[in-house]
Amino acid sequence: MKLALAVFEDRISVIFDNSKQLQIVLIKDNFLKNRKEVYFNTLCIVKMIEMLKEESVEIIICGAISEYMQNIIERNGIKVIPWISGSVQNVLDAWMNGTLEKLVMPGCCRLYAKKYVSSNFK
Amino acid sequence: MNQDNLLSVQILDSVADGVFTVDLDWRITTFNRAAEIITGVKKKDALGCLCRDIFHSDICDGSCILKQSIETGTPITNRSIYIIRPDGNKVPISISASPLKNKDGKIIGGVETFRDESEITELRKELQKSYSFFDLVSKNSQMQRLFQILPQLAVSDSTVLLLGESGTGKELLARAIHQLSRRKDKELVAVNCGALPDTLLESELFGYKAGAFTDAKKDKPGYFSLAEGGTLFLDEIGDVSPALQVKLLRVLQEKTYTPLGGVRPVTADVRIIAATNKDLEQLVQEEKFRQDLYYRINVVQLKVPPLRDRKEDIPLLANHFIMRFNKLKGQQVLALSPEALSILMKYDFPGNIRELENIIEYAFILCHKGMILPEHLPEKFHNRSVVTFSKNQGKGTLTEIKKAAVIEALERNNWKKMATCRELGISKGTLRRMIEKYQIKRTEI
Repeated sequence: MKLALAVFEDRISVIFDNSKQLQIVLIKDNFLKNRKEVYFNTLCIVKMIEMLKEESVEIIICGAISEYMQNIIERNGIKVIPWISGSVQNVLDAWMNGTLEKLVMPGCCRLYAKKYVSSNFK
Repeated sequence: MNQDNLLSVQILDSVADGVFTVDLDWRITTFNRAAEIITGVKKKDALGCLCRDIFHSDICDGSCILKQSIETGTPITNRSIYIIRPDGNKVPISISASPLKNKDGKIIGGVETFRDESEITELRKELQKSYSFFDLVSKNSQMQRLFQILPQLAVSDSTVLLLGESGTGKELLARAIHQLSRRKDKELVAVNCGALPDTLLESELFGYKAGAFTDAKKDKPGYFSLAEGGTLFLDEIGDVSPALQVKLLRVLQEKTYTPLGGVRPVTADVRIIAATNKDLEQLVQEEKFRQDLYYRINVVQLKVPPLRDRKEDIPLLANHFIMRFNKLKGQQVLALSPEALSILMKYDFPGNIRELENIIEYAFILCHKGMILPEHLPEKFHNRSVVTFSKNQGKGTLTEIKKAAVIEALERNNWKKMATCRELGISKGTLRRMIEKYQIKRTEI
């Protein structure tokens, strides 16, 4: 499974709509197989979607995201797990351990996050 | 909770602006009721958490003003940013940040106050729309009158003469007239008459037949033919040679023209919009421009004022270009800072709107997001004494110069006294005394 994490320095970027960098990771049998960094521009939405498709990204893990942006990405067949915070390593560990909902930002609709994090992808 | 703390909480909760405080680890220590409403996060969820996990603003990744304020020990006010609420709504807000100090003066954290600007932003957008007419943007009364008469003028099919300095937007005006006319589904062909040598301009305008000259291997349609049924915009009409003026006159009078090397005249159904930055009447007097052609093209005359005579448009136009360059370049520049705007308001813009557009484009190279600051402006604005300030500068006695400077500063700041004081670097009392001393009244504009 290919995940893309919207990052700033060594942590998840606070706002996806404002982020410039993705870490694209390939996870197989719960092991991290490959990792690469890609720079992108959320204002050029068409190019961004093209890039995500070229990279075969299936899921984006990010911080806050506007409803508009999330709808566009999901309409293109890419799932979004928003409202996650923490270091890149902690997020990857949590993903593989199935405990990502523990990293949901405070006050950000935990039920909503649980729905995405737990049932849909793990 | 002791009595003092209880009072503080009550006071903070009664404030309409969102307020939160952080300790030096960026963990939230206070979060008032307005902050709950604006951010959509409950106080019980917010307290003790990292502020970026609660606030979700576009400056949290590397441009935090609370951090800047704490590091420098100075307050920062009124920055426009946006936050994303947990429901996915993007909310524009204005924020201010200050360091918090204990009784010994030691910084122990910071306070951020913020205001929901959604309504103001919407109103601003509405206002911007009301000041826009196709691609033209202005709130100047002269331009607004132009916008009002343009629809009637467009449907009339009359020849239009646009007068105005270079860079004032004459071509945009021509395009608006074309778009409003019944010819809008056909082409608008724009020709710069000053850019081509006379012989070439003639063949470009009227086209040529095969064999008209060496290398004319086949027929080539001219701009008149391309604009058939549409509009031909002849820019810099004052630069056309007398010989070509005769031919243009014939097209306007008889609605026919003959391509180079052709023998039969061709009918032209083209609306002419001519433009020039020259004084055509003067050229007529000097016999450099044919009087009969002048009267033919001068059916409806529109004057586009230079930017220095409509300085109230500078913030509006700057905002228009900022939005356009943001889309084109994928940047997130918010606006001109008050300091940068103040510098531009003092400038005379000999290159008019085109020059302002170039200045904003230059600023986009140095500024990728946030506010355009004075240091992002081109070099010539860094030494402010070099900038052409005003038409009256340096003439008359010292008293007259002072009076002129005050009047011009008041005009530039739309007669807002505080803004004028800031620009001139004087107190409100000094300004009041100068207004009284020099008997300055608003009617002196």
